[in-house]
Amino acid sequence: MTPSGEEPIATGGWPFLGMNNKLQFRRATLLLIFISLAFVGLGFRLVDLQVLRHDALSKLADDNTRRDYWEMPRRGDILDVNGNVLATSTEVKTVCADPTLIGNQQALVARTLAPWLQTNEASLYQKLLPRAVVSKNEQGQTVTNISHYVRLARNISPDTWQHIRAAMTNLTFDTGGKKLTRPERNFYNGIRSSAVFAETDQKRVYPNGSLAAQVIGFSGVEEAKVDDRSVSQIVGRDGIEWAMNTNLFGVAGWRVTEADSKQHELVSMRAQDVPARDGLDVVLTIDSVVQHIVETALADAMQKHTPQSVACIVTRPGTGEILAMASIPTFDPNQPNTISTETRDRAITDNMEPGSTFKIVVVSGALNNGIVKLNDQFDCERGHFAFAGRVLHDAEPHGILSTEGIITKSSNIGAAKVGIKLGAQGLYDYAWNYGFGQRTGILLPGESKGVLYAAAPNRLITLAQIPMGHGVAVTRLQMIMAMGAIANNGWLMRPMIVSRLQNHDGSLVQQYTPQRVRRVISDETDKQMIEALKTVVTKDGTSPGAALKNYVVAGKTGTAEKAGIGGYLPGKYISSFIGFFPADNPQICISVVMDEPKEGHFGGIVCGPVFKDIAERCASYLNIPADPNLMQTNQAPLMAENNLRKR
Amino acid sequence: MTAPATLPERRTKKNFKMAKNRKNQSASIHFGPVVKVVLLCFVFCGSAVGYVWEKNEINRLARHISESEKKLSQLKDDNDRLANQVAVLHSPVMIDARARQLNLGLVPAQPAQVVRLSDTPADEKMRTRQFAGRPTLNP
Repeated sequence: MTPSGEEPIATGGWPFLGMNNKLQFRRATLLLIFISLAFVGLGFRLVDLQVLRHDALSKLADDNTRRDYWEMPRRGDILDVNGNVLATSTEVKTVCADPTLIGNQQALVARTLAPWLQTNEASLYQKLLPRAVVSKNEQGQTVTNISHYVRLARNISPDTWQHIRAAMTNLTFDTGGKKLTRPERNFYNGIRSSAVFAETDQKRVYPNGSLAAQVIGFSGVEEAKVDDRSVSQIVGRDGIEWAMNTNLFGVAGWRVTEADSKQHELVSMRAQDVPARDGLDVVLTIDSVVQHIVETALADAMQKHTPQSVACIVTRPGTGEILAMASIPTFDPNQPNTISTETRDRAITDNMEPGSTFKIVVVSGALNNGIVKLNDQFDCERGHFAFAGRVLHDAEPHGILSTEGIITKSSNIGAAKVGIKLGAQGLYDYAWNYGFGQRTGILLPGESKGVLYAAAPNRLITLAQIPMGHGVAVTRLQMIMAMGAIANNGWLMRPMIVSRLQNHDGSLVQQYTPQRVRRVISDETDKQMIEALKTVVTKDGTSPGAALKNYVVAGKTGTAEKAGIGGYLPGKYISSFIGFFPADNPQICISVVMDEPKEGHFGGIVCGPVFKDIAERCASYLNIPADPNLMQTNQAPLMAENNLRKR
Repeated sequence: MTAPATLPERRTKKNFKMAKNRKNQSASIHFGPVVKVVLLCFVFCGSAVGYVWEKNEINRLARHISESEKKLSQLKDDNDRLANQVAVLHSPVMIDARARQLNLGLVPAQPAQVVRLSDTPADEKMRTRQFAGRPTLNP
């Protein structure tokens, strides 16, 4: 034994390390060098992985585990003014498949799915075949991959999807009775569990079918690219669905998280979780009961007079709210195949020559300017009046008529003479002030602004044509808003179709308020006009059939020859009646317009009764107080019965 | 001549710096270090068990959250489906058709059949029930 503290003995080594000979020392040194080299190698590898290749490798690791999910917002509902649902969204499934997992079992899977998806087995088989997808990678190189995704069917109900899942899980394969190897078992289990999967989607549902279809519009599904992924979303195509799409759509949410090898989300590893903000509910001014009354009345009129189309608008003159707006032919937004250009919203898209309803513009203008008075007399020339190289006609010959009489009898010649007195500029100014030749600003797409030519003093004939509603084109909405101005003390209102925006829980987000556009005529003129318009529904007027039993009606009829290519079309008319009631305190204004009615063509004859039908039912539903004077003379059966009992 | 000092005696000298021989130490147990070691073990073991328990809890709660989210989603969907059914049943088209189908003889009330109370404020007289919630225009 070598004493401690002595010099190494001849054999070498370091005694204090317990290495007393050179061999041990060499071995230890070699080991040390080897371990050092190993550590240097590991260190280099560490630097290589963590520093030099950090970006590429961290991206690879992220791709393996990180999952980004987009959460699409629920599209908002469309409600009527009383909160009845007109359009809503419901959850459906989009059934998809991964063809790479199906192998050669397309026929069996197609046979299993076809009855549930209600689709052709052969087309399903074709969809399930693997297909190559050519795309470009980040370096811009063309890459061919086998697609892992094919969409089999949309709008599948959750119940049906449960049946599909059960059918796929219980799928039995013809293995010929042989014992399956592990890869074969995995393959068949993969088909059962993962080959067919579903994505959650939305479907737009319109519970009332075609009710207010042209106002509500319809929606479609659009594919959008989000982070190179295809996401389907519902977008509005027409009507409120289109006009308020941004509000209805909402804001998408997202989730950045990680998933395990079975693609189950690791909830604890969520890095970001921003919930989607659902779309807002749009509450319309439309009252679905009034709308239903209007649509049933129009359907009856359509059956009776077989016009090309019939349209009706019901407004509240004091605020410009639209309670109902409909035109037939219409469509069912639940069935997109029923939509065509014929089913457009004619109340705002179609221009027409208004005919005699336009007389309210010229007569009120002349009264307002003080050019004529209500009892001024005009010679109506017994139905023939030559002016500016043309001969004007009345439907019936009239002699001397007062200004009021011109409205009562709807004399073209009388109106022309009033128009001549008012002058071209006056005519244009009042027509413009009533809102013709410009869009009303309603929140619906496709509104036409009509045609109103600037005053041309050298074209004298327009002085006679425009007062009788020719040489000017208007929309049905413009015309009822003009009549609404007379019902509203001379104030023209902007039409309101949206009442408010609210969250799904009913909390208010935005309230739309009535807007006055301008005062067109004075209060005094307005009263005179209403007095004149009251006479239209009397037995001397053009539409006694529009008179109501319990309300005084003010209105105007219109019958315009229909313009076509090369001039007016013989035997084709656009007939209309626009009125409001109670005349002295107008609550609702109703416009009925028929395009080419077959059984009769005068507005008072064909449209007056439709007005009456709608007005009576609306008055009952809206509980509008009856005119006390008429109530005394028109006792209803119940009241008469009660009186008898009292005796 | 004095006898040479024995080795143990030499080791007890104050100039001798080597560690005490364990064989010569007292037999009594030193509780201080033992307690320290036990505590240290407890701390380490407790931390390890706590860590595992925490991870386990996180996973359990994550599963619970996931299940609750699925349940909530399912309930929302059911709610929507039921709301749709209510909407269909509320539809005036449906009610009208049903009333006709049942042949109940329902007709709209005539104005004369409506009894109006006279204590309605003057400015509200012309505002009907259906117009009550609607906006008004203040001049």
